[in-house]
Amino acid sequence: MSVYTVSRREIFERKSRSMLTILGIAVGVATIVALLSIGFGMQEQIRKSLDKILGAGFIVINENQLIFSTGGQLDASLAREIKRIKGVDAAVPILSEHVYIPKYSILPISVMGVDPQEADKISNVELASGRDWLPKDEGKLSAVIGYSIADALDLKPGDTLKVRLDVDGEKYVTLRVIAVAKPTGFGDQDQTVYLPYSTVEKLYGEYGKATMILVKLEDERYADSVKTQIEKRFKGLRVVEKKFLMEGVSQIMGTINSVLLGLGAISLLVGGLGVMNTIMTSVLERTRQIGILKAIGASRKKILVMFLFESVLLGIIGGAIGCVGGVVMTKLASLFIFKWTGLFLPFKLYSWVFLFASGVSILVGIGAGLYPSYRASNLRPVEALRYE
Amino acid sequence: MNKPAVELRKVYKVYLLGKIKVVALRNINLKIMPGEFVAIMGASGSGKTTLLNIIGGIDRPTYGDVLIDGVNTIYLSEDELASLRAKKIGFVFQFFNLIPVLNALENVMLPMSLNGGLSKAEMRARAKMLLELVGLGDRLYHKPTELSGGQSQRVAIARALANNPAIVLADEPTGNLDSKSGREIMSLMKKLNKERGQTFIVVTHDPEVASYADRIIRVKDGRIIEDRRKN
Repeated sequence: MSVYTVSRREIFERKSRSMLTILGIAVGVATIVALLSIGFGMQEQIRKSLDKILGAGFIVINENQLIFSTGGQLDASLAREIKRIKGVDAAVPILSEHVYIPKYSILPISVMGVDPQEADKISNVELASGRDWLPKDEGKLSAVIGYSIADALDLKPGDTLKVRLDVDGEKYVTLRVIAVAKPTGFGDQDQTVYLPYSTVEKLYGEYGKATMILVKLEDERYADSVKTQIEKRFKGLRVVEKKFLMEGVSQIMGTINSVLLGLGAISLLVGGLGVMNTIMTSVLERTRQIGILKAIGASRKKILVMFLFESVLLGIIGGAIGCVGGVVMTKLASLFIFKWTGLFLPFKLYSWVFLFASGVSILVGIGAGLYPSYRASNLRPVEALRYE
Repeated sequence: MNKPAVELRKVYKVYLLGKIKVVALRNINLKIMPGEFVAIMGASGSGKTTLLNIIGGIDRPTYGDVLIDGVNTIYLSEDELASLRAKKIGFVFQFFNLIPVLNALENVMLPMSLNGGLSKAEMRARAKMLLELVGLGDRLYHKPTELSGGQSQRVAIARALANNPAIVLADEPTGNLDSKSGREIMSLMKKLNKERGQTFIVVTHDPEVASYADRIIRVKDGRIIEDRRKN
């Protein structure tokens, strides 16, 4: 039995007001949990995918070219020469182009031409259904399609897919779906059509060309020597390392996460103002009670701590509900965004996110309660007792 | 000779109502000895409640000294004053002023918890004993809303006695009760005063309430106009 008993009971006594206040905090915390889970989940997924694609290795592109652009910018034969360098496990030319799938999107879709024999060495794409490429698929319209396209158009292996190419005017071709890829977590990869290298070469008339060459090393320790050799031996090439790509990804994701976190913080601030309003109202309504408590011997500190306890309790309950809500929100967001846009949003639940969210909700409780509690503690007993 | 339980020396209380100065108490000099049962009487606005509040340390005089058990309270900080109230003074109010979310037992335990020093079991046992003393042994777990006016005032008296204070101050303790309950409450306070030797100071405008006191102090326009002991 203490003043904290009074605080607890007062919260439960004013159920609807307390619930609404708690909800305000919960929404803020849930938003933060969801945004962080999605943001960091995406970053980790991208890192894993890059790891899988490149392993120990890098991308070789034309030095005047942007990463992930399209078209035949390099000679594909370079791949064979790079492969001869000591420490190189595989060097695979990729020819990347654009295609339009009118039924799916008005935006261009990536087409990746990969050598069927080498695809498994450098790809992070796993098949959800259908079969791997066979030698007989060389030069044929046998396509492996990204999960998002298959899901949106309800395509299965064996189905056909009509696509438009903008090469020398519009040209329509019908692809045969031999496999559907598993979702990778890369929105872009899940909206990609994979074709044999020779097919893309033929369709776009870019014989012997490559957009990039994926280089896989036998071991990380060869990285520096291989890089130096490529740059020395072949003029006009740029070696893009995984580290460089990761830095870019981290930078972009960092910005995105900051923006998301900012949005969450605003939402939490609103929740905090709700707590402040509730405690202010409570102090006002219970002015007489404060007078009684002071008359029977409560110090200023006791009154301050009593109201702070109430506001922190609201924060903690809100934080706990918000954490659960955040998990639900994350799962729902992931589910609905995938359903509506075909974009797979990976998420991961990190314990530090929950610790962070709980810490923040306690801080919000303290921050929001400080002023009203201070006011309550400074009320003069005789005036508080006179309050009607 | 014993120290006075309460001593006021040249006490003045001046309020500012807008720009107008209102003198609520003028040159009050008063000694109340331990174990006395004193009634402070006066009409509405006479200054009797202000006097009680100043004795109880919930209001401060504009000028003068207030000594409780020999300690001059005008030099105490807010928190030291709160601690003094917790230890030495019990309040009984006209409107009972119980904490609505706590039951009778918890209301009586609250001052003990504020004062500290007792375990939860000791607080419970003492609160139960006090509620039995005021005749509410069967109402321990009732909330204030489930109690009659008379019962609520008994809980308030038990609460005032929680820390075994030297002085119990009551402001119109029967003002919100029917006459039968009022008489019961006054008899109870009189009994406690006789049996426990605690000083009781009751503010009232009701001569019947004052008839329980050994000493009657009349206040008018902020001055003591009569201080009479019963024989």
